Amino acid sequence: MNTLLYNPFIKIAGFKSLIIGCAFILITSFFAYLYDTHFSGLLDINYGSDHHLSYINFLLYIVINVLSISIILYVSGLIVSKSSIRFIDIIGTQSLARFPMIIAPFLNSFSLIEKGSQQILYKYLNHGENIQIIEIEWFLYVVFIIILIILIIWVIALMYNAYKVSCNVKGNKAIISFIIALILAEVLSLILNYTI
Amino acid sequence: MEKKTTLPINCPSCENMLKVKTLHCDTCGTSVNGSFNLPVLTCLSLDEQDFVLHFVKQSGSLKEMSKHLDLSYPSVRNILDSIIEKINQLETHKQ
Repeated sequence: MNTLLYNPFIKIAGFKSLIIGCAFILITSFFAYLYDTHFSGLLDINYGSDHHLSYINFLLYIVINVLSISIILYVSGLIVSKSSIRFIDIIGTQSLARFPMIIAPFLNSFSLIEKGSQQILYKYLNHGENIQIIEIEWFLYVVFIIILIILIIWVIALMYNAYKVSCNVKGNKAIISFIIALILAEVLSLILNYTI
Repeated sequence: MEKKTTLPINCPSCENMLKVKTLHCDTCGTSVNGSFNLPVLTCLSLDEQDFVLHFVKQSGSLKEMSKHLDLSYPSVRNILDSIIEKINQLETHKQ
């Protein structure tokens, strides 16, 4: 069970993981569309309604994120790894690595994160409007934010394990090249998603 | 029940690689003495030897190996790469 949640790539990779990953991407983007959740960068989760966007936009966000990290990790693997690596393994495992993100849209089901963040902006930066939030809503806001942080850490751990298995890299070399790739992919995905 | 023993490859005292001194025929009792190097494959762990054996039996197909071991293709390739690296180290060590 632990392997399945933390490193499923020991057992699933390549085309099989790409198919499962794509299924998760389609479902995640559908819920993201329903609950106004924008995955506007590799590790970015923004909540807020934008009536100009269709389902395809929400799907494109995730596709761009997966493509950005896959291409950069492939280049990184070619430089760092001594093994013969396959792009299908990288894109397959990276698309599957995002499966916990399916939970993220539900955290905005009552628009609590949206409302809480607006209130914080108003209170501390005097920006936007004053929204009344009761105590229980603040409590849930904090809980949801903690869940979001855990989700992001979980996804990063999965992406790292996917990289280690698909490119056969270990130790410091793996950690440093992954951090660089993560930063580059974050920037690339933000730029590409901005054009949507 | 016969106790399963593993072939020692390193000296327990100085950790250098051991050599074969005597070979014995169980049928006629003949013994051959000398100083023979251990074949590289015998220097691998039992799991690694098992992997190599199955890999040859599967005609060197990583795809078939991944089915046999119930592991993903890159996981099997990574095991193979680590065995290749170990064999290269052993060969360098022997020279």
